[in-house]
Amino acid sequence: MTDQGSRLLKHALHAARDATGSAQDVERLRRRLDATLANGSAPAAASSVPQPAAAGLFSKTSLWIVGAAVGLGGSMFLLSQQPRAARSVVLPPAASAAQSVVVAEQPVPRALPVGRDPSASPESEPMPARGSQVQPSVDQQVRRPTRIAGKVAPPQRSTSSEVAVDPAAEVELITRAQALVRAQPAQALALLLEHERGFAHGILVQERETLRIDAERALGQNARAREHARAFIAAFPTSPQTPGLKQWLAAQQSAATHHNPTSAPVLTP
Amino acid sequence: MVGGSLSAVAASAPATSAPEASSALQASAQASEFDRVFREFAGYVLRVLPRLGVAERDRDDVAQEVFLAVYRGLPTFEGRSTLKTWLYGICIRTCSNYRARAHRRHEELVAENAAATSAHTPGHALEQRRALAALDAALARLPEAQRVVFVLHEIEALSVGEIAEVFACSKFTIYARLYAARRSVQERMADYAQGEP
Repeated sequence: MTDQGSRLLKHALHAARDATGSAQDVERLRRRLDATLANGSAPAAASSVPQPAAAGLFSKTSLWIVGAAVGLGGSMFLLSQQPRAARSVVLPPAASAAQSVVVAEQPVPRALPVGRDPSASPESEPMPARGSQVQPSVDQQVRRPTRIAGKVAPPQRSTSSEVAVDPAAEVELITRAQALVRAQPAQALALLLEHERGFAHGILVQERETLRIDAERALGQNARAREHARAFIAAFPTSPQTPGLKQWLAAQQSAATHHNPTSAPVLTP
Repeated sequence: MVGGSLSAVAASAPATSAPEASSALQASAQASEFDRVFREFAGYVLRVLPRLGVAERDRDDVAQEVFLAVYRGLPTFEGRSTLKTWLYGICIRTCSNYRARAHRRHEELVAENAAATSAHTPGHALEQRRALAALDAALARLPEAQRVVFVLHEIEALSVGEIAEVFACSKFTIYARLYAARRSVQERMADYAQGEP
């Protein structure tokens, strides 16, 4: 997404969260309900009240649809989901094996990795997109770390990293980590690290980072959790998770101050 | 009813027999609980309906439909989910029915919301309304299930676990919907920012 698009989305989400029915709107609705219920005309058919059986059917249908979309419809889904700049990348057949730079028409800004130096984060070897038109040999030439003079050159950061993403794999990793985060936080952290390697700038980065904080808290690594929480808040100030993290940091600071009033605050303002 | 008026009516009704007195008490308790739910959630319902695809002109009607469903459902609400997620479920189902009806009537819902935001509004407010119109347009192009997950997570700040409870489905399903919805909305907002709505 472009910077402009990202800003626009942040504006929109902020506005949507702040929006609420005005007092006049609420009062108008109150009067309408008063009139309707005073007339005893509340409809009997409760079609809008969730029913367990209907919910179960909906759930099964949804699972089937999502399964088909994510799993079986892979090619079309993947192609349609690629960032536009990434889709437009055309790799020259004569690309040198020593050049591990993928040139995109324009940079594709991604969510910032939290708590890590992006340049130090190892790039994964993305799986080729199913149905991709890119020649596999060329694909490998431009993405694999290249051996120069007997040394493995560090993977260069691509401006169109993760050209070939696997939505199902990313979703699967986050789901597994989420399931383990309370009972087996160390294993959850390992999965999150795997996600970071494979999907450094994936769609579910916010979820990865909040799960990482949860796992660190479960392991009693509160200092690291605080560090990651601050980084998350800085990187995603409008995330729906940010208010909760701010509350947690404030509670941590309060507890630290209460425990040792003479000590310096744990958190910087 | 709302705002205590129905409570007063129920309390003042003459009870001529024990069953009638019991019924009156139940009605009074139901009205009291409904008052509480209305006070707590009316603003939220009015806020979330447009994001779920309800046209501005229909918002009050759909909101009334939601609270009538709440009124009917409260006596049987067993507390297996939180009141909040239960209410979200009612909103989702009501909006789904509404959109199905609108589809059958071949009504264009998004165009009206977008047009409503194009009125001359100064400064920051105008920018916010335009952003909101772009978001509504992007949401309108999502499949319904993805749209609901996006709205509940990104705007209403429900956790994936809570949304899975609303839908009675797995967290994997919710993550998958969130993934697809987020990517789609990001792309469309980028298009919109570049002047290609």
